[in-house]
Amino acid sequence: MQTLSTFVIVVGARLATALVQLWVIATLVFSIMYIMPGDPVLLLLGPESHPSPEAVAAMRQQLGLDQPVLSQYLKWLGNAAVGDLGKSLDGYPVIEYVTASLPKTMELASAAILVAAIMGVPVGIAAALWRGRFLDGLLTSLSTLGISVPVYILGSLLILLVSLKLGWLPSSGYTDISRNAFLHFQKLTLPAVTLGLGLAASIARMTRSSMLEILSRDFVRSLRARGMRERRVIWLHVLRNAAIPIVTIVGLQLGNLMGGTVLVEALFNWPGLSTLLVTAVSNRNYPLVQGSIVTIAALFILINLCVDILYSLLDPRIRRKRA
Amino acid sequence: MKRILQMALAAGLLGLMTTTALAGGTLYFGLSAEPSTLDTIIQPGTAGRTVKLAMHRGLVNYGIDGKISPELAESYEISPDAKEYTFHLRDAKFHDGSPVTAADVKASLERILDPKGKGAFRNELSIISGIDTPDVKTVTLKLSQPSVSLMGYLALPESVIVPAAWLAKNADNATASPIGAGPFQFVNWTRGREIVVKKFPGYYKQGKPDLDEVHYVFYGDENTRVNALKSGDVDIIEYVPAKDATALEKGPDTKLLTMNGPFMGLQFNTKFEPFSKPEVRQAIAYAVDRSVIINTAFNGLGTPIYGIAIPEGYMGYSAEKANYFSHDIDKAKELLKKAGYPNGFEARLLASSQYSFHQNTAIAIQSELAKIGIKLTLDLPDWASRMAKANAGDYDFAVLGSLGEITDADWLSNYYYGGDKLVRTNNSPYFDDPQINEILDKGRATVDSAEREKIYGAFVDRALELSPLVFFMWRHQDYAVRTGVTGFTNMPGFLTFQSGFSIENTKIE
Amino acid sequence: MPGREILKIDNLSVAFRTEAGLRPAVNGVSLSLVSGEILGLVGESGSGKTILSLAAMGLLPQNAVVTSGRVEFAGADLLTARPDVLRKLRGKRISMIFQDPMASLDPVFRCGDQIVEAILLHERMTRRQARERALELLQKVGIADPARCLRSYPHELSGGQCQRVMIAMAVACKPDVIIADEPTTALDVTVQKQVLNLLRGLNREIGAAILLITHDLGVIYEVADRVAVIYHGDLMEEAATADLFAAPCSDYTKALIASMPSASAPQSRLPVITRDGSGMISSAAEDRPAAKPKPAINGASEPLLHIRDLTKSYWVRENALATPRAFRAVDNVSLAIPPRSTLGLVGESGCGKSTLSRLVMRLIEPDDGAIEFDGRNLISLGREEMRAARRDMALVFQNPYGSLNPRQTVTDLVAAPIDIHQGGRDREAAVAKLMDAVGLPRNAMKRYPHEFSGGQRQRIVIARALALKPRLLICDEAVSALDVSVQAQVLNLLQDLQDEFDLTYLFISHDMSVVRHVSDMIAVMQKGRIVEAGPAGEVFDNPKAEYTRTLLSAVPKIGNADPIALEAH
Repeated sequence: MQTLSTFVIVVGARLATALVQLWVIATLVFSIMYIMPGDPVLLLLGPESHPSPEAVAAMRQQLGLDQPVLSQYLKWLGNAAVGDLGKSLDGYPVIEYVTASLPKTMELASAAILVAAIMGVPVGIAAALWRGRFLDGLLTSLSTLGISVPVYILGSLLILLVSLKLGWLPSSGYTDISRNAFLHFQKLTLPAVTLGLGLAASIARMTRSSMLEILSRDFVRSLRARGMRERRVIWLHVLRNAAIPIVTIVGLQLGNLMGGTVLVEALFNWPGLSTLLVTAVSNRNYPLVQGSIVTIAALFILINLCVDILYSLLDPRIRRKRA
Repeated sequence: MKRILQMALAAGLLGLMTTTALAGGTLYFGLSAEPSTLDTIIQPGTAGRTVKLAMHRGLVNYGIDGKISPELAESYEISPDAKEYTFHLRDAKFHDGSPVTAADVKASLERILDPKGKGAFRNELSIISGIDTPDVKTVTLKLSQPSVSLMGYLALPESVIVPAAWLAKNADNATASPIGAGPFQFVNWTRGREIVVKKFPGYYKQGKPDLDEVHYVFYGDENTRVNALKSGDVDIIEYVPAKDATALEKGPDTKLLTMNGPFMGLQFNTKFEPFSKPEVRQAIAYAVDRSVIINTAFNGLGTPIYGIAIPEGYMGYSAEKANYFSHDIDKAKELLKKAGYPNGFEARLLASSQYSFHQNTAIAIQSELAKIGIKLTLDLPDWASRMAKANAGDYDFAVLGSLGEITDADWLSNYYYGGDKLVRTNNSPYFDDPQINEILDKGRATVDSAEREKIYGAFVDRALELSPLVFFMWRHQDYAVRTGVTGFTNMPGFLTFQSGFSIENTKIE
Repeated sequence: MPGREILKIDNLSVAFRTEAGLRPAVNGVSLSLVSGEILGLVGESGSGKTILSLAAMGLLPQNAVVTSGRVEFAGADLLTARPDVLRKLRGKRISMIFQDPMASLDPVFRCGDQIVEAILLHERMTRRQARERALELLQKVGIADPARCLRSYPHELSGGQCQRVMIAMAVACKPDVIIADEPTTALDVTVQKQVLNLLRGLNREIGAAILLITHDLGVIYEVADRVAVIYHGDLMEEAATADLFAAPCSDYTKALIASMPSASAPQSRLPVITRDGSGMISSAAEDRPAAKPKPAINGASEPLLHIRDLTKSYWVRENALATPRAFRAVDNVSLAIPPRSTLGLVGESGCGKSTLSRLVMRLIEPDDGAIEFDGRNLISLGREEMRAARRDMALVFQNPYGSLNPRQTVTDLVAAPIDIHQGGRDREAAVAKLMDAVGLPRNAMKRYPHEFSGGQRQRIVIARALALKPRLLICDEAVSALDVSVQAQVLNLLQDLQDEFDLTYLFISHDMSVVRHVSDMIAVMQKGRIVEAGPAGEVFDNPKAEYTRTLLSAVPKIGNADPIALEAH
């Protein structure tokens, strides 16, 4: 009971801080968008047409863009506070856009993290256990390679090889899981692997150093002194201890991916939130930009909070400190 | 364990089956962008027009042969003084089943003509002073001035006819599902992904369309678009980048549909000092080596222009005047000296970094003009900022990549006419030559084609002399299809952007 | 119990693989452990005692290698045994207890789970039975609330409790041999006594032989039946405890015993262990310039430091919803230190002595009370004045590794106070003089901390403390991390410095014998309060407070050893 009430209070405090952070972000974005040159109305009326001044003025009024900036800001803020992110300049509610594209980015990010963890953690463990030997050197070099290759190039290479030459997987696009689940996952594979490979490399390195650090601790020697099988020492005790920083890193990377999937989404035509945001910025679609960024920020904060909670669950020493 | 393997096998086979597009039924079209809107009276760019032309038809449209083809109007007459147009509507239905009537035509046109409305071609159509609907199948347009060009504007995708009842309900509802009279009807629009249309069985052309469904999928990244075609994820793509043209032509699974449509040139802010002088503009036309632009920005694909960008076969085209300019550095320097700039000058060239061919054209021009002492700084914002600057006339000169909206010679008005709005998207800001204005007005109103030829001949002379716009080249506007896709036409010349019209003929094996 | 040889270490040599080849750690040591006995293995840090035990268990680190010898146990040579055979022996027939109990337990698993796991490694029984057994064991090792202990995580227990848990695990399977490597070094002296008693009790009850490795001769005296002394990897001497202490044979043993503070008269110079060129070890009393006559401690003279009713509380909550309680770290403490004298402050961990030392310098702000230094009340001083006042005081900390910035040269480190307070004037000269004062060579000035041993580093710390010529030196466990012989050197140094520079010391320690050796006055601290204070001799010989008596009785003493008799050898 004591732990539960502490937990609730701490989480509550974090959420309150999060709201302040979101407000700051929203205000910053609002300011930047308005300072930027470029008129969304002109773009809405057709990027290649020549609208009359009356039409432009009428549209501006219709969209509420003729109001003074401050009142537009306050209006948006007031709505956002109750969860109404307003309407995109083309008339559709921002929340619709966000709820349509957000799950796709989350799915891609989660798949990428999964790929990264599945590839990276065993590699890191192997490198740690065979430290200093050939395998360690090989795996560490591969990791460096993985981190250095730009995502766009890696993705293009994979498309060229796997999709165009070998024809194993589709090269791009998105299919609803309800329409064709198999195709859906086929289309998810290449982008997830592209994103995941780079992450796998850093997860591998993190795992390796975390494992090495734990292996040098006293209690590992004590476990061996008790006659424990090396397998059990490594896989149950060492890994469990090493998992703590690894989980943190993985969680943080997931948060970063929320807004960081642009290149992969563009390359694979994956209709996620990052693509939405980039297109919205090109079109100066203010409400959509604001709504998207605030959503991404909120997600990032939420994921970080979950990571912290997970961290405190995994490490009993942290739990104590909180109380 | 065996059970699991069996199920996995079954799932795999099922997946494989559904991967390939249902033969003969559904076509996937890779668009280069998501349309900003499907509101018919707004010009949303090629992607939006492609979709519009699947769902809508006007009184007339441009056909695949490049000529005006009667659509909702099965016949029409133009009065001898070109001030009255009468259309006789055929039996056609809208997607909601209601018949196409004169009232619908009137409502649609009035919406375009609304001075406070968003009609992209309101100006061009504003010579319609009255619309009569003597009976349910007849529409008469009365013009305030004679115009032989009106038909071209009525054939635009922006002039299509929509139901009056729908307009009454939805004129300001940007999110309403579109209703039209075209071969396909709207199914849904998944933002960020695709627009789906399906066959309209009540289309007035028997046996058309062939396809059951078309998915217009948005591929913002050009490489992704090309890959999608190569891997078979889509069947047609538009805006093929120049670097992939050869490969797609070679195939083996793909074919290139190529066309010289748009031109690349320069528009000048005539208020900016050196550019107020025709000699300076002409000097630039002489100084730039067209092949540099073609090679730098278009992989060597393109045709140089040494005169006014009038395609061969269009009114006003003349073989001799087509080579008015040439690549002549000395002449250029001489002209500059005459204008009072023997040592050149400095200027800002506006283009955009968002489209690589725009940016590379600007870079090529910069290096070319340096040879006659004109030192350029490049202004390369993203497209939205570029548009904003263009509309405010905030540039010295700018890269212009466009084409004529209609095949009728009056397309030149948009580019050369002065009028009351001197800063427009496609003209040279503040250029207002009374002679040219007069010629263009006369040309629009002259019915006799031989007369017209002479008038536009005079226009070309004057236009070359003043050169408010300088044209460098025709660029390719390519579509690419997978082998097995037939019936899709890259429409000729200026009509390439309206090629979406031919979806009604498209078949897929 | 009939003595049957149970563990025989025969001519064992172990070396470390370094870039420069093999560096020997253990040289041909032979030991035998008889069942039922407690064998003490004594040596200083770096002597090879731990490596020896790890080698016997087959737990050597990667860079260590056995170069010769055998370890016989139950008829098999452990060094050549198959890994799974060795594994089955570990924890079941031979178990090991390590020095730092909290670090020896897996921090993310509950203690109960770990004990159960240890049991189930070797015995076939259900989890429930194992849990029952765990509870029994915890009770046997003296844990007050075994059920709660089972549920707790290691960091929730005290050091002593953790060590008991480790011992419980070690004896769970009734092993034949228990190797205990410095099992009580990290514990308070009262807890140490309890743990040693526990070990003795288990030895008698189960009949397990114990190899007790330690550097503390007092512990050996109290607990071990036989003693082996090891120095630089060589076995110096092996004898029954009483014999060893009454009549040590080897020079090293003699020197070691002589270096212990309890073996010398209080405030005399401690003999240190020296090794001359031919490898002969002897105990030598360093000669130093004649000590200045010490002024008598005059109760009437004005004390240099006078603390009155000093109080510091912290707010502590049990949980987020409970009302915060005030925890008094320092509770109405009053002390007076006459100039040119040493006040020894002794107490166990958590009693508040470190807090007190920081309060004196106002590194932490006291809640209440007065601190009078040379007549001035420090509490009333403003920031700038306090900063100036701190020049007269200096602090020497316990950890010689942690208090020196590894990236700075010795000159920079020692001159730091001069840089701060005097703008770095004449720093080179000042540092050179200080080096001489603390007995370090001048060429040490350009080197970095990692190039020095623990004792040498502590000298650097002392040099730094003296940089501004303070009047009061606060030594907070200054010698606690040092070996006996090094400790002797540093204590001698402190004594010399006190004479040379007219220093006053506040000497804080948990080690009673050290405190006895250096102090003129002693104060005993418990739970934030001073429970007894007075002249050193009186407090030690006639303790009045109950707690003082408990503390004194807990200190392992070399009982019959007569300090004067030893010195004569």
